[in-house]
Amino acid sequence: MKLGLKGGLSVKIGYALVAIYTGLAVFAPYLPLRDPNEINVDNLMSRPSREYPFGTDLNGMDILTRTIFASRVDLSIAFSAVLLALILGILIGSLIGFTGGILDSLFSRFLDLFQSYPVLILALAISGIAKDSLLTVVFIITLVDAPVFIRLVRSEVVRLKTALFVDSARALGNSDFRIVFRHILPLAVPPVLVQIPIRIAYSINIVAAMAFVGVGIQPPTPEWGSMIKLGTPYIGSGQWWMAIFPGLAIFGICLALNLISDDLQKKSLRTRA
Amino acid sequence: MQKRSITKLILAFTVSSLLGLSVASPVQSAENDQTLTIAAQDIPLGFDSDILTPGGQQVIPQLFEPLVDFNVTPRNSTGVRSIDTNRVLGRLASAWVKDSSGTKWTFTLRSGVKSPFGNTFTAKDVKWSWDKSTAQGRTGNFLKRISNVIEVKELRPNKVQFILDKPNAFFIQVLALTTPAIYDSTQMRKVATPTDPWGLVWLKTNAAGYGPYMIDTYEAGTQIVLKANPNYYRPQPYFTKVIYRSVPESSNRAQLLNSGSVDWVESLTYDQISRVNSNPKTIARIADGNLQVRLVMNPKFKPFDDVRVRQAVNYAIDKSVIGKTVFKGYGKEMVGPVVPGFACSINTTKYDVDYTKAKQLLAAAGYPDGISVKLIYSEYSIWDPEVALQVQQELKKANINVELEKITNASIISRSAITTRDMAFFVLFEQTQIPDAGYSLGLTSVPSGAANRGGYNNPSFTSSLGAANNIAPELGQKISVKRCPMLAKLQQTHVDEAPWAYLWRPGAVFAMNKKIEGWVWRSDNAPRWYDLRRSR
Amino acid sequence: MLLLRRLLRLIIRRFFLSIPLILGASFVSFGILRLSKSNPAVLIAGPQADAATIEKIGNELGLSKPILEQYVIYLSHLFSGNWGTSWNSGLPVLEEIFRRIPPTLELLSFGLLLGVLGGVSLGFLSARKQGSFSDLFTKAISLIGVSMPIFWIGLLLISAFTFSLQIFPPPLGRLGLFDSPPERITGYYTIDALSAGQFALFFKIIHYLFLPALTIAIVAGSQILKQARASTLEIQNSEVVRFYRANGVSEFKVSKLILLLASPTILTSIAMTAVYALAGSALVELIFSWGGLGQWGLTAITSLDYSVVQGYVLTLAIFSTLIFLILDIVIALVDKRKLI
Repeated sequence: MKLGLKGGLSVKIGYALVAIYTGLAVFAPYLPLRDPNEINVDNLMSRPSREYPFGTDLNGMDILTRTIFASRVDLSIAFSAVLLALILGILIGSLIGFTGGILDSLFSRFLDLFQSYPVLILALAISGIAKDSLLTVVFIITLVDAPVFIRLVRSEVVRLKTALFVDSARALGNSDFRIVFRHILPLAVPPVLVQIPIRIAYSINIVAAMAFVGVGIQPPTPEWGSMIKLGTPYIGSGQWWMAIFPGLAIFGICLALNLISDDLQKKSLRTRA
Repeated sequence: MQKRSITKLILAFTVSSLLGLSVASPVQSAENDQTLTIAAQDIPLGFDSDILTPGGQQVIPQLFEPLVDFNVTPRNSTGVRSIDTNRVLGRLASAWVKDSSGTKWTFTLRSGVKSPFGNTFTAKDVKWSWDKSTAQGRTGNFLKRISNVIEVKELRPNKVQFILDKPNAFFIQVLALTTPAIYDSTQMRKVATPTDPWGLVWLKTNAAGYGPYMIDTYEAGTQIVLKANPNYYRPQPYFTKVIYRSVPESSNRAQLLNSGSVDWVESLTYDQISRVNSNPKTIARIADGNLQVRLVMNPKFKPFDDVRVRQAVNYAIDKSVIGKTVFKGYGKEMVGPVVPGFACSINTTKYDVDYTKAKQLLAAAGYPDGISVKLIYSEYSIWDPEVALQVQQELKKANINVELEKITNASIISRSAITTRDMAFFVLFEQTQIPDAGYSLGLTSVPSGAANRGGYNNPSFTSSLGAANNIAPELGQKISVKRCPMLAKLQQTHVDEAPWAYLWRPGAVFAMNKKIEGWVWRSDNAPRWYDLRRSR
Repeated sequence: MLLLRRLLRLIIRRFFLSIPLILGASFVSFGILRLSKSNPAVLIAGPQADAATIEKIGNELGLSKPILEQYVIYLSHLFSGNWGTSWNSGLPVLEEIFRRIPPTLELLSFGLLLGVLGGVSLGFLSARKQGSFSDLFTKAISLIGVSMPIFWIGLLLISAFTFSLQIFPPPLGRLGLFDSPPERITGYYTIDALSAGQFALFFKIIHYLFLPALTIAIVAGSQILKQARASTLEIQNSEVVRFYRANGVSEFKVSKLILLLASPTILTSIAMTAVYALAGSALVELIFSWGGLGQWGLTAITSLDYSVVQGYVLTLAIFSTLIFLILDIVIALVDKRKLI
């Protein structure tokens, strides 16, 4: 079962799910699906059936197709934002960690603030005033994720900086830049990579929450959160499928990412000890 | 373990509460038979009839009494009664005469009318109220101008005179509207301050009128409770108490009505309405109404400066599809700028869907490969997002690529206001309260029109309309038919120039408990709670 | 007393530590308005304001002055209690905030209480019984709880318990449409109903409170569970514990010791979860029409009522500070109890 007994099976399920989601997202336009924005006047809000496995929404759009196409939006935002945040984290984190001094203490206090505040609200507030575009959302999510990565890289760099071999490398005449790149980063970065799956899951959640509240990605662009929002009024009148299936999609990818993350945590603990 | 036993305790408590509570069902019918309970979309943010806020339109008319009011028609084929604008009855005014030039109207005021504050109604109140609207320069002032009123004179305590600069076709009908409302000026003077001479701050949470209801308790944003005005000059209403409560989600409102928890609900979607009708205890009463769903195109912005493009947009939309998907078959297509049934309205159906013709028109206008435009919409009307979506799909078939942009409800109103008008292409309802073609066009289609949201400006149109609207009514109330040929031509011009895309008239739907009787459709789409009663 | 003096010192220390956070939040709420190209006065005044009002607000904000000076003006307004006015409701922002704190706090406390009790106990127990079936079961539950978006959980619960099974009331808020709330003493319905002796009403209030609180509890509890389990695992295999066990101390006492040693990390994670729950509960409030700060703030964000957005961002910063203050106090108190 997926309870992590053997560690092997549950992680394999996790990776498999991620692969499936990514595959669906990448190849969606080539799959035999309908147009996600195609309005079907004769099939408004129809139940799940053989023709429409996930049912249709109030405009007659096929929910299965939209759920799959929504993965393109949600996953691309989450992946790119986390990637950007990682790069920022490596660049800024190593800089402030290595330089130390006032810059370090200032930045650290600043990063502390981010951890002590519900950043979802910040994301919502900024998104409310900004234009509703894909790029804006990526930018906001990067803003939310970057502090985490900066912090992690910084603490790793600080830890490694004091190790002996840095002094010897310096003694040999290596420039600081080289020290950081060739000696420190290769050791600092891998522990940070462990955080990537969980940050992706968190980012997906934020994107969906933003769309659910009504900022960020707007309908009719398929997006899991906005699909749930459109389906919410109909939960009570029996048309459950509009809000349930997109949520299931979020659940699936987040579950997979959490499984992978748990496994990576376990492995990294082992290597550290 | 301590923690474990605590957990068990909490669990046990929760389960027993659950069991106990499932018996205490939350479903309750209105306690008192003579209390009317309404689940509304919004609560008014003040009681100044010159500053209309979403909830205000439903509540404010109950607090104020007009000088005159419309008569009521007998039941039509669908059992609905509406207002008959050809017959006007006296309310605060008991009689009136106009002079031969049609520019001086003298009203005899009813005696013995008292406000909830105990003050007696006199001509002073009428003058104060119209002066207030003039000073504010908003809706009331606009209505004053459109009815050609230049002065309101107190002749005697029970006689007031309106002086017009030109005769006006629908002046008497304007008096039946809620704005400018007639205030108890004695009370208003008490709450005025040097910096707030019209008592506007007090009006944010209170009202002083001569209407059948008064405010009992008011919780901004949540609920307002009204009770019958004990000093009202007509017999007391059936419903002596009205609870008007905000329930933002339409699905919650529908659920409350269907479960019998409330008597009346506002703004349901059309599939919720079907459900209301299939419930034997509830009913959705439908009138033709005066609401029009349309797209506005501002000729100031390219490509809408070319009439062929605007006509192409009209040809490229299949209205029946919109009627079917968005309005679930309720309502009818729009026939022109004016609602059918209005005085002097004509049918000008012309834009039957024809994607080829649309493409040809675009090519003739210089866009053989089609155009890309942005359509702005909001959630102001519950169906606007869906209409926008359908329009996008339809226009695609004629090579018009539409990018959708959503803005807030407040923004769409302010950006289309007379002072701004900066949107090229947007979805917004149209609704005029006086069932007259001339009034309607004056509101929507001349530069000075308060509801001319697309900035339509055709000088010859404007002057013709002015002439048509300055013809006085016959016999002091009936709208003159002399105006009809002129107005017919103007409506035809409007359709030819197509500053709007004429989409749909959804009708006016009111969902209520089947036992509620007495509802009459009115052009402000607000019921008068005074008329309602609960049958046995 | 020594304890009181220590607490006082903690409060002062936390106060100074929190200044950056609150200042930072004030800077962000100040800056949000200047992100867009529009005139900040227009944004604050709202779309229905006339030109005179906009000009007046512009002068109040000091828009003609350099930006740092504007920030100082903003801060001085905050300190004097002028948090602006919501153009949506016409009421002062500070007044609205005070009105809406009780519903939010009531919901948050109830939800977090359930979550903490469930999360800590299940996490602790599953670690103590590592490898057993109940451990695996608990891990599965926490995994599921962590992977579901909080607003979706709320909808699931509503769909299942309110509409299908009909054991809970529809998501209309803290009470039914025509129920009268208890006489207002504190504004917290539960406390007010109990102190007025209205037990039937009290149960009704809990009835409405339960589902939204459960939604928060599931999400918060899963996070706390994970951390509690991890901390317990780490501690129970540590040298200290092994030493005590080897010396024949009873399992019961050892468990207490483990709990005690793990409490700082667990408490810290509870604080972090509580901060996260500030945002999550806003979404829950939206779904259940709760009428608290969260629903108010989120609605203001979408309707662009900027004075409210500023006030909301700041209020959350203050709440976060209070959460950490409580954390400090509880850790200090727990430390005092040496049970062995």
